[in-house]
Formats: sequence, C-alpha cells, structure tokens
Amino acid sequence: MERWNRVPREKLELLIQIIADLSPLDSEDRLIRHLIRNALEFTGAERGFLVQIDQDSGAFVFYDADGPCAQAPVVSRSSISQVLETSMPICLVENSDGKSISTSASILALDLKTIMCSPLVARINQERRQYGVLYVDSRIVTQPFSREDLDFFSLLSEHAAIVFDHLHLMRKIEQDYKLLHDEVRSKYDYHKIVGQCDAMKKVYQTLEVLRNTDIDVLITGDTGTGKELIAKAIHYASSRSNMPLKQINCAALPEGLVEAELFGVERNVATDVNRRSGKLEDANGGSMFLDEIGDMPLRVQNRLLRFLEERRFRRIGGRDEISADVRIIAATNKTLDLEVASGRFRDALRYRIDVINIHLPPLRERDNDLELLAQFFLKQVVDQSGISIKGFTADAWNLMKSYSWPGNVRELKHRVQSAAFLAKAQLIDAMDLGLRKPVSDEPSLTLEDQKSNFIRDLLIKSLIGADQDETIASRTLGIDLERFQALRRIHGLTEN
Amino acid sequence: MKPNESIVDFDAALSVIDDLLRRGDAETAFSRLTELENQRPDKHQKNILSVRLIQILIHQGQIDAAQRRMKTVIKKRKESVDPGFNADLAIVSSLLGALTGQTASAIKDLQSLVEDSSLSPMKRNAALTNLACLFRDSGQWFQAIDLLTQLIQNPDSTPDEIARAALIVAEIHLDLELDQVAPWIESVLTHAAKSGAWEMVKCAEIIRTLSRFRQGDLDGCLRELNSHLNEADQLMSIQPRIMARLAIAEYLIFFGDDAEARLHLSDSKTILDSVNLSGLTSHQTKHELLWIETLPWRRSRDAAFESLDRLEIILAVISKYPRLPGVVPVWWLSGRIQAALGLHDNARKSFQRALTEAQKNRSNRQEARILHEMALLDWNSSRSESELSGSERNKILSNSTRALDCAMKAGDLETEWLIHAFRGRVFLDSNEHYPATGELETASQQLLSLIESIADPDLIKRYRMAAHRAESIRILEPYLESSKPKQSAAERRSPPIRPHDESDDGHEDVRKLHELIRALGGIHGSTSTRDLMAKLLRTALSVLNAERIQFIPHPGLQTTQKAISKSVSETADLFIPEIPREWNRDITDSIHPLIFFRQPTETDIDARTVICASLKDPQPLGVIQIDRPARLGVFTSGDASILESMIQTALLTHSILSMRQRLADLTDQFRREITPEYPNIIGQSGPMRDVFNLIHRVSSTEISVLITGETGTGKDLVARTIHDTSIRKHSPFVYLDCSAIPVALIEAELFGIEKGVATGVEQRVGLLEYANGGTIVLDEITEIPLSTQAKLLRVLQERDFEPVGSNRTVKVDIRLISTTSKDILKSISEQRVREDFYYRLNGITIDIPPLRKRDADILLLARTFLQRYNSEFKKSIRGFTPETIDAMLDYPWPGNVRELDHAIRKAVLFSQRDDLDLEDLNGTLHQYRSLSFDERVKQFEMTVVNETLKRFGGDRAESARVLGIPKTTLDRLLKRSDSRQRKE
Repeated sequence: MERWNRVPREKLELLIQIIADLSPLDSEDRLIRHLIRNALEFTGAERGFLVQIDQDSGAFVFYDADGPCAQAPVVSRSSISQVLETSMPICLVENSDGKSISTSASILALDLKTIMCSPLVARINQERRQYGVLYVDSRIVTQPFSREDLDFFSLLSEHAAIVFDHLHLMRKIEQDYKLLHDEVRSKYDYHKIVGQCDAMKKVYQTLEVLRNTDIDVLITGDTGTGKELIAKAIHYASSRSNMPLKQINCAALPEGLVEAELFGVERNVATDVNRRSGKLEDANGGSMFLDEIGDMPLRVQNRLLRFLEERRFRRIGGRDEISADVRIIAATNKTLDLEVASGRFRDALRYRIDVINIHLPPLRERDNDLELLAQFFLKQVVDQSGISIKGFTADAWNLMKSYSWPGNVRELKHRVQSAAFLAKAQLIDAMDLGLRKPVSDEPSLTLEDQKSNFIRDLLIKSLIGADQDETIASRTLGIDLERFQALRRIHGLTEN
Repeated sequence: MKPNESIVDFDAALSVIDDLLRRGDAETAFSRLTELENQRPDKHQKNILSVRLIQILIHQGQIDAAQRRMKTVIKKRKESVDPGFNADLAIVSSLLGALTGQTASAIKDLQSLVEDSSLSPMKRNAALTNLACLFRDSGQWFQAIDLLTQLIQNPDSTPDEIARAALIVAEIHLDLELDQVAPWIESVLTHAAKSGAWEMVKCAEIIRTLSRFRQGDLDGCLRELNSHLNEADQLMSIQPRIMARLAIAEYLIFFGDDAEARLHLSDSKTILDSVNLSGLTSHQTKHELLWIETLPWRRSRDAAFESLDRLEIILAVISKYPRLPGVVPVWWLSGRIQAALGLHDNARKSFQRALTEAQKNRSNRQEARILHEMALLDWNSSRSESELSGSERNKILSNSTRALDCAMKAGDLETEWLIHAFRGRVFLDSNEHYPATGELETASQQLLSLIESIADPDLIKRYRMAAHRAESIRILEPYLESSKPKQSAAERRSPPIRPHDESDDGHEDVRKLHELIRALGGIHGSTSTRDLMAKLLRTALSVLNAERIQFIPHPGLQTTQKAISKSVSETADLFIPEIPREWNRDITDSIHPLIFFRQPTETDIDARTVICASLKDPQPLGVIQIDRPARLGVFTSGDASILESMIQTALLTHSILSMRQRLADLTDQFRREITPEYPNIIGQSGPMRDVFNLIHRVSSTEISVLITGETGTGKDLVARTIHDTSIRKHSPFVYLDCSAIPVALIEAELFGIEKGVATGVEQRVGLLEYANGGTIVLDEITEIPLSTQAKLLRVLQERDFEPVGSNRTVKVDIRLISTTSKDILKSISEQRVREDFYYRLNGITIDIPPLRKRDADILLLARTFLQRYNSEFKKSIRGFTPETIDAMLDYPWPGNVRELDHAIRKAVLFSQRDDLDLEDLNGTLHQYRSLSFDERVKQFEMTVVNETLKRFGGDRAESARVLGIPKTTLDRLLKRSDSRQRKE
C-alpha cells in the first residue's frame, strides 16, 4: 500500500493521463511506441525498450520508440532474464563491467549504467500472461533511478500489461472468428447445395439475386425440403453474415413463449419473470429466421407486423420502443393463402412477408436429385463414421425411386444414414432402408398384426443370416423345417 | 563597593556592558568598553575591563586574541586582591578553557570557585550559573539542573539570578523534550518581571507556547508565537528574536508548511549571522536542524544527500563542541533521512545512537519516537525484501511496545496513536484481524480525542492534513468514521457545508489519485461488462467517499444490464433519489459529470450532494448517480473529474468487452453451425432426431421440461444437454435422484434446514437455494411425497420458499427439469402425483425412445462403446461378428443404452478375439438367443401389451380395444406374465 505514497502527486496525475491514453483497440505497434515514449519521458531515462521473447528461437526481440529494432541493442540481458524469471521489477546500477552494484551507494562513478526493468504480466482471474518486459536505462549517470522511479515504472507496466492482454485476447477471438466465419460461409455456400433439377435451379437464381441484399424472404416448401438450409444460405451469403442469425420455431413453442422469445420481457411483468432480451434484439444487425411462421399465434403476428412496418418494437411489458435492424427470413410448410382464408393468418402480414418467395420442391418432383442426394448423404456418413459401405443395391435404388418420400430430403438423409449402419454387406439393400414403418409406431395395428410382423421379421432375418438356406435358418430359430416353411407361407414370404 | 566616586560611574557603565554582552550585542559592548578605557580607569579597573574585553572577544569568536589577552591579565592578577575580580577572571578563564577543549579543567576550576566561601553571593551565583552551563554543554544535564535548582532555592539569590537560572532549566527541559517546563517558566516570569528583564520574560513566554504546542495543545499557538515575535523584535534582544522564529518554524514544519517555515528560518539566520557568535550555538544547531527538515528529502534523493551532508557537518562540530541539544535530534533526523533513502543499515545505526543518547537524557518522549521509527524501519525494510518472518515481526512488535510505554510515560498522545495505527498495520499484514482491530480502534480514538481537543476548525483541518502524512492514517479511516458520532448537537443542527468550488486539500486529492490508479487497473482488467459495471460502481464509491451509488441503465439499452445500487453500509436505504426533472436533460447532454446540490435550509439536515454522469458508448448506456449527505462535505469539481476519468476508462474497456462479447457470441453461433449439435448424445435414428429437435427447441427457453423414458435411456444426459445449451449454462446445475434418498430427507435436501431444528442438526443450504440462477434436475419425480410436491409447486409458482424450521424467505430463480421412468399418467390416476404439479412440471415432454426402437443407434452405439473401451483397456478389437450384430438387433435391451454399454465393456475386457462374438456378449444376450421361437414371440406379445397399456394410462379396456383382442384375453395375458415373473 505504501508504495503509492512515494510516487508524488504530479506523477500520479501523469500516470492517470497515460493510462487513459493507452488505447488497446489500436495496434500493438502503436501501443508499444506510446508505452516506451511515456516511460522515457517520465523516468528521464536515456533509452527505453520493450523486450519480448521470440516464440520459435527463444531470442529477445527488441522494440524501441520507433518500432522493432533492426539490431539488438546492448542492454543488460541478465537483468531482463532475471525479471522474466521472477516477474519482479528491478532497479539497479551497473558499472562498466556489467557488474551490478547496490543502488544504496551514495556516491556513484560517472561510467555507471542505471537500469529499471519491469515485467509486463497481466493477472486476470488467476490467469497470468506474460507480454515481455519494459526496460529503461541511462548509460552515463550521476543520479541512479530511485525507488520512486521504480514504483512509477512498475505501475505503468502493470497497466500496460492489462492493455496488452486485451489486445491479445481480442486478436485471438478475431482469429477464431475469421476462421469459423469462413468455414460457416463455405458450408452454407448455396453452390454446394446438392441438386440439379430445374426447380432447384430456379431457387439458385433467386438466391443469386438476393445475394448482398437486405430484402425479407419467405421460403415455402413441404416439411424436410431444406427450408432451414436455404435460410442459412441466404444469411451467410449476405452482407450480414458477420452478424447474428437467430431463429425461432413458431410451431414448437406455446403461444406466450413465442412472444417472449421474440420480443423479450421487461422486468416486473410477472413476479417470476426476469428482464430478458428477445431474439429480435439479439439479432440486431443480422437476420431472424422465423420457422413455421404459418403457426405463429395471431397476437404475435400483430406485433410482428408492427415491427416489420416500423422496425421498432416494445418488449413485453416495456414502455420504451427499441429499434432493431433485422432481416426477416420466414419459412412455412403451409399454404399461406389457405391460412389467410381460414382466418389463422393475417392478410397484411402475408403481403408484408411474401415479397420474395422461394419455393422448395418436394423430393419426389426432383428427378435425378434423389440419386445425387442419396450418394451425398452416404458419403457424409461414411466419412464421419468410417464404416465401409460402397453404395446401394439395384433393389434399394428401385425402392427409393418408387417411394413417395413424404418426409422429403430430411427423410432421405435419415434413411440413408440408418441404413449405412444396418447394412450387413458393402452395399445398402432395400431392406436396410426400413421404408416400412416401424412396428410400434403403428398404434392402429392389432396385437395379431404386430405379432405377424414380428414373426415375419424373424423369418427374414434368419433367412438373410443363412444365405436363404431354409434348413440353417430354421435351426437358428430353433424350430423344425416343416414349421419354418409353414410360417413362411402363412406370412406371405414366398421364395424369390 | 568601591570608595572611589568615579567608580560609581564606572560600575554603572560596567553593568551596561554586562547587559549588552548578555544580549549578545558584542559590538556595542565593545564601543562602550572603549569609551570607558578612554576615561583613564585605574589599574584595577583596567583589569576588570580586560576581563570584559576577553568576554567580548569570545563573543566575537576571536578565541586566540582572547587567550593572549587572558595571559596578560593573569600576569597582572597577582597585583590585585579583589576577590570579585578574581572570581570574574576565573569564570571567564574557565569559559575560555571550555571553548578551547579543556572543559574538564574548566569545570574543576569553577567547582573550586563555587566552594570558596569567601566569595560574594553574586559572584558565587555567576560562577554557579556558568558551571551549570558548562555541565549542560558537556551533556551533564542533570548536574546542571541540580546546580541551578540550588541557586534558585537559595534565599540570597536575586530575582534576576533566579530568573536566569530557571530559564536555563526550562530550556534544558524543552531541548530534552522532558515536558516539565511549566513550573520553571512560572518562576522565570515572576522573578524576571521583578527585575524588569523583559527579554527573559519573552524567552520564557516563547518556551511556554512552544511546549504547549508540543503537548498537542494547538489552539492559538501560531497567533501567540507571532505576537511573541513582534514583541521580541521591539526588544532588540537577540535571544528571544531567534527563539520566536525557530518556534514558528517548528510549528509550520509540523503542519507541512515548509516554504513558510523557510522564510522564518532565513530571517533567524540573518540575525544569527549579524551577531557573529563564535562556534556553533545551540540556536544555530536548532536552526540548521529545522532548515534540513524543510528540505524535500522525502521526495528528492538530491535533497536527501544534501541533508545528510549538512547533518554530518553539524555532527562534526558537535563532537568538538558538545553544545547542547543537538545530538539526539541530529541522529534522529539522520536516521529518518537514511531510512527514506533506503539505507536501512545506516538508518538503524543512527537511530541506535539517538536512542542511547535519549535514554541517557531520560527523555521518554524522544525515546518513544525513536523506538517507533526503528520499528517502522524494520518493518519497511524486511517487507520490501521478503515475507516478514515471525522473529522479525516479534522484534518489531516488541520495539513498538517499548515505544508505547515511553509515549505513555511522556503523555505523548500523538506518538501513541501513531504507534497503535502502526501496530494495527503489522497485525493486519499477518492477517491477525482481531488484535489489528483493537489497535486501530485505539489509534482512531486517540486521534479523534486529539482532534476533538482542538477548537479552531481551521486548525482541525490542518492537523488532519499533517496527520495524513503519516502513512498509517489511511488505514484508520474506516475506524474514524465509525467512532464519529461524538458530533456535538450544535453541529448536527447546522451541517457545516463547504461551497463546492473550494478545492479539496492536497493530501486528500493524493489519496484519491492513488485509489484511482488502483481502480483503473481493476476496471481495465474486467472480464465482462457486468463485472466492469460492478467494479466501476464499487471503486467510485470508495474513491469518492460517497455513501451511495447507482447505475440506471438507459431504457433503450439493447442489453439486459440491470440497475445496480451499492452503498457503504448495508442499512442505508437504496432508494433512487429523485433527480429534478430539469436536470435530466443536462445529464444526458453533458459530456462531463455534473454536480448537483440542493442548498440545505435550516431544517433540511438530509440535504445530499450528488454527482450525475451519463455513460455513452457512443449510444447512451445509462446514468451513474453518486451521493452522500451534504454535511459530510459537498462534492467538488475535482471529485467530478476523478469520476470522469474512471468513466472514461470504463467506457474504453466497455467498448472492448462488448466487442469481444459480440465476437464471442458470433463465434459460438458459427461453431454450432459446423459441429454436431449434441456431442454427448449419440443417435442417428429417426426417433432420436425428434429428441434432438425438442432439446434444441426447449434449450433456448425457460420452459419446464419433463423427460420420460425407460431406465438407462440417458435421461440425465438429455437434462444436462438442455442445461449446457441454455442461457443458464454458466450457472449451477444440480441433480437430485429422488428415488435414492429416504422420503423423510427429501424436504431437507431440497429446501435446506435451519440449525437446531432437531438436536444435532447443523444448518444446511437446500439444493433449491444452491441451484439459484441455474437448473435443478429432479430425477424420478414420482418418488417425491405428495406433501413435498405441494411445496415444490409453490416454489415453482412463487419463486420463493422457507427452509425447514426457518422463517427466512429464500428467493430463487431456477429452471426445473424433471425425469421419470414410470408412467406418470398412471401415477396421477393412482394419486401418487398431484395433477397440478404435473402440469407445472410438464411444459414440454421429451420422451426418449427405448433402444429397441432405435435399430440404427444400437450399432452406432455399439461401435462407439467398442472404440471407447478399446482405448480404455488398450485392446484392438475390430468389430462384431454377423451373428453378434443380429443378436444385438434382435435383443429388446430392457436396460437400454446402459445395458448395451455394460455388455460391450465386459466383452471388450474379456475377449481374446479380433471380432466380438456372441460368446463374449454372454449373459442375457446369449440367453435371449437360446430362447425358443415361441418364447420370443410370447415375449414380444407381452412387450406390445405393456406398451399399449402404458400409452393409455393403464386403461385395460381401451388397450384391448386397440389391440383387437377381448379384455379377458388381455387380462389372461397379464396374469400369465405376472405368474411367470413370480416364478423367476
């Protein structure tokens, strides 16, 4: 505590000024120059350096008030090492041999060097990060640095280290951010969307038009056609890609919750609700993906309409209007015209959001895309899990093409992924796709039907395991051949 | 005495000369002497004049001339038989001897002279006085005092003689800081007044004022000293003039007014030089010491070394002429300067010398101060080097105990509080808070009683300022505040309010600057905007000595920063003081903080002084308000600028932090886009995708979630994932398995229990309280007794509760996730779960499908577990045989994922094969494969039946209808399975 006492008032005021001037948002170079210049000015030292350790070579890297030193200056390396090691500031006097002598000697020869060296160590929340040392010296002195100089000097270093730390963390986050941003942009690059059919080509054209615009978009299409993917592609291809993308599924949440999630809640609305920001606020500057907007409760629709018109809103229970610059990307699998006709959707809102409409075709209308997509998903699962599946059998292809795919691309993806795990050979067979609904998911089936399905399953599995050899299959099931054949007939499994 | 008539004139003239000499006016004395010599004195008179001339020469520092003259006089002495003359001669010769370093023989000469009974009382007293002076000058203070006391008590002594002797005694007391000056001064004053020796009266008065000042009685000292100075100057007498100036300088130095002190010291220097006294008089020594005190040796090394050089000269002279007061103050001052320079060893030696001398002098006051200074030195030097060792600490404490004893004996309250405060710091430093508090409280009481004894408010301020120079005072501040209420009623009625443009005193400013720098470090080092705001408020509160502070966020602020209020005491109410409407605009418009203050009326003792500042980044963030009662001093513009620099730093950090936060949020978003969402939960199957969808939907909300699923399906994992992806992810996650603790203990576990509810019961914080701000998971919720359910329901609705046996209400903000493997609808129909409770739990239900419905996941999980245990047990099993795969897919996995996990773990551990075989997956799996075809079909049948029953809440009629069988068949099936289970 008392070391503050020794630094006189004028110096304290200057120090506060310097600290206030340390602008960490600037570059590290500017910070270093500013730091050295001030250190020189206020200690009256002859030279000043910032010394950092090169990560690779372990050598000292010197900076002076003009930037990095081309040549390493002659300085007291031992004291720098000592400070780096102990993280304690030192102040000493050296004679011309480089031997340090105590500062307490009151008479000093003229060829002495007086040195101060202080570590740049940021200690924040138990973490400790070293940013080199700050070093000043005077080579010909009559007056060595005093305790008071050292106090001032180490105060300056402490603050500078914190600013270095801010810069460092900031840069690290920026790096992460850039890397991830690139990765995400590349992942949602719509050129990578699988599909060559005419309907999809039309979608890509629209996406190209939308690139770098702020226009609100409505995406329609059956469930599983990839509305979310397109929404993300729109966002990450826009100038808002470096801003948040928030999403909310209007169908999944109870009415009150949708409203609160979207607009936020002001304190004291209900006793148990804390002040909370809504997703619209959080998405400020970015985009808001409103999935299943067709299921949005009418009351929320009114609020949303008001927002779309004024780009301002109030939190639930709030008095003050909050403005937010948010691009709305809405999606629905419902036909909004029908919803409007039946009174479940506000006409005004429909017009307001249905400016640009992207319609995604169902999978069954996408010609050869099925094949591309199936191959794509298979490759994906193979790459991720390392199982060795080479492709699909002809049966499997036939089945997939004849199937109506009510769940569209999403269903296809899941089927292929499950099949990849279930396949017993190197090719996925029709059986593995499991396009028949699972037994227990059929609530209307009677016990008898379910039993029959079960037995049929057992028979099929045993036959596959026995390479269609009835004798072996019957043995694995533990029944005699006659009963096996009878069961096979009963359950409609003819030889193929 | 002399028959010759001319002698009357001569005697009169001689007494004039003596008088002049006494005043130190050697020049006038010399001219008078020359006049007398020109009047043709007789031989005897000539001799007498010679003696006076020697005295003049001594005064003028011409010791050699004096000695030559002395020799001739001594030669002629034999011609004289006048005992008076002989005595004069002896006195002067011994003085001269003392000056030339023969003090011992001089003392002997005078002693024999004093014992000469033939001597006239006057001469005898003159000899006595001179002898005493010699004793004094050679440091034998107490012999000197004895002799002088003898003189004073002698009824034959004249008032003049008594006054002179008493003055010397008083001076000795003053110089030695013995502090028993008063009676001697009284005696000087009474006797000197009788003889009209006004210069002695003045000296005595100066000594009286100075000693009063040293005793801590500060009121009006300066005024008295100044009037002494004026009167002394009119006397044209050197001694009081110098004494008055030195006293004023000492006073000014005490209050830190070095520049003013130097003016007075230069003045006294001119006077000292003008009289050209020989050697180094005590005044010169004192002057020199005071002059050094005014040098900035605390702040400048140059000045410090110069001071040490000057002290060295003084010491050199003193060692030759051991004239009085010097030694102790010189060593003491050297020690302090050396300590300030960091020359600890030298300082220690100097203090030791000073201490030895002070002890010889029996000066408790000096001893106390030196010992205190030594302890302080030891503390500072050992602390700057390393941790304080126990023995060092004990030495320091024992030194300060001795110092305290001495200070108490001397009645030196000022040193006492300094010592107590210092001890407090030492104790605090070694974390001994109890003794520390005691010391600090004593110190602050003493300091306060010192301050309270002062009537002059201006002087109080100056005294506080002087006290501020002692490092210790800052540590006392909290204690001073708490021991404050001794305020007089008068003061309470009319609060002393300073106008707010008056600049604060310098030391207070320096304190604030110190704190500010520390605070800026903290503000710079904040890790979140919330942390930053809290730090800003906390430090502003303490740096500005405010009572309350609050931050009111801007209404349009797009974050959820809450209003924060802080205050110095828990009890102070935290209401938002109303800002007059007309100020509002000013606050939001002004770049600088604004000071507001309502002028108090006579009755308005609650008037508060307020600083308001708006925070802009550059959007308005909100307003900071800081206030305290106006009677504690109105905020100054200096305070506002301190707040401003804090806010500037905070805003800088705020912009960095919010940028960092924004980037971090985005990075999180990006990361989620490219990594699998729930790395903990493995599942590719359709049913699991539905689960993931639900998790994703609920995790960004605050909705209560009920997770259902058979045992071993990983309900806990899903609960954990919901928490980890929610906004509460950094808050506590608390898990309570309600089926694992006795019913009787559930309540205590949940709500906590107060100490002493039953014997031996310790206080315990409940899990609900512990989970505050976070998520609590109640596993197997149906096991909670009905009464507890009712209580929990209340918690969910009111968000508060009372611990068992307590009337304390605990407010909580928790998110509830509950799980059950039972059929909860059935539990409701059986009235084991309250229906209202169920609706509250069940914001959204996530049903985790059993493993047998997740064919794709069975193999995915099996492969994952295989990999995990391969690496755990250092095995390299490649996979599964086709039979094993079939068996795994067929098996209904009643124990679900957990069973699969254990089965694979066991298999990997014991298998010696490349691929896991059925043999390895023994136990139930193998048994199941050995079941007959019919048994497997029957088992399937039962599974279907049970699942259907579960779906319809145990409604057999409905289940039978859906399954397409008569209810009797269903009953039969159930009975059959029951009996089989009983058999097993």
